[in-house]
Amino acid sequence: MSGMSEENLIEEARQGNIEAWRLLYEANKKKIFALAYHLTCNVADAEDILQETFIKAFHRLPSFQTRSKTTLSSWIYWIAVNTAIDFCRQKKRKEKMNSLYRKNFPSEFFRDNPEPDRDFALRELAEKIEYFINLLPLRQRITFVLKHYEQLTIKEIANLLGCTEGSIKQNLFRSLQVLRKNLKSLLSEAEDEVP
Amino acid sequence: MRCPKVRKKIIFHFYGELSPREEAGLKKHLESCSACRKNYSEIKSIWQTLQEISSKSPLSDSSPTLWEESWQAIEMKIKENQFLTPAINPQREYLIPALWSGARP
Repeated sequence: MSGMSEENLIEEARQGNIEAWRLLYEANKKKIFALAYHLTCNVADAEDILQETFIKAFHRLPSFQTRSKTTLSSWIYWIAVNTAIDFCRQKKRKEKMNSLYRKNFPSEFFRDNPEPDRDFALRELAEKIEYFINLLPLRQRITFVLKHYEQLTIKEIANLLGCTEGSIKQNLFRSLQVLRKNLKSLLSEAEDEVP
Repeated sequence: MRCPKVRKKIIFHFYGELSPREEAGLKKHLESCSACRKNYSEIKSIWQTLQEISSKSPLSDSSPTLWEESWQAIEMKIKENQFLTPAINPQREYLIPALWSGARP
């Protein structure tokens, strides 16, 4: 089955062939996980989004047009962005209800994956930056992540999110202004520590 | 170009979203405005830090079992759903109304 074309794999998966879907998962999983991780700054949340995306995409396969201009990969990517948006909204709602004093920097990622070779100061700075990215309003965070990490053009982001290029530019500008304000003091503190 | 407009342009300059004409206008303004030059170098420093941080891939740090565990969860959910909503069988679809009407007096 691994020698099959993408089109045939999609057709097989449409018929319910789970092995075909696995091969399509293997081809796309890293891109989706990276996007989800950058949007949530959390490995466990990124795993949840990855799983939900591939479950949703499997069930929506009948609506995917093989002969259209959209590739399967960008179609799954679009589902992942929307899944991540819903996930972040739900999480924010839950967090508002459940905890009022969770103000520590998210450190589980680095704690679970210690990298003794890497410079500690840089990791600490990265952690704080991720924290500030996570504090951005949802629209700004998504725009920032799609532009900065995923390196999409403003036009591509506007198409993906169904917004105008002007509003994407506005969100991007605001996100950078907020990050700049928050990071300014951090960077001057870290200047001596990070080579 | 006026300073408030330049502030926006600086960010889009780093994202490579300016036209050659806008780039030239920005360059010209920076040559003559020390406040915007200061702003430019501040954004540049933050930009470089963000670039360094964003090159850190979560993939290299993720657990080696992540992909397999995620697939198992996906497969389980899909199979669960397939079990709950089996493919429509046209014969069964016709059989149910037939039985129903037969059962009525």
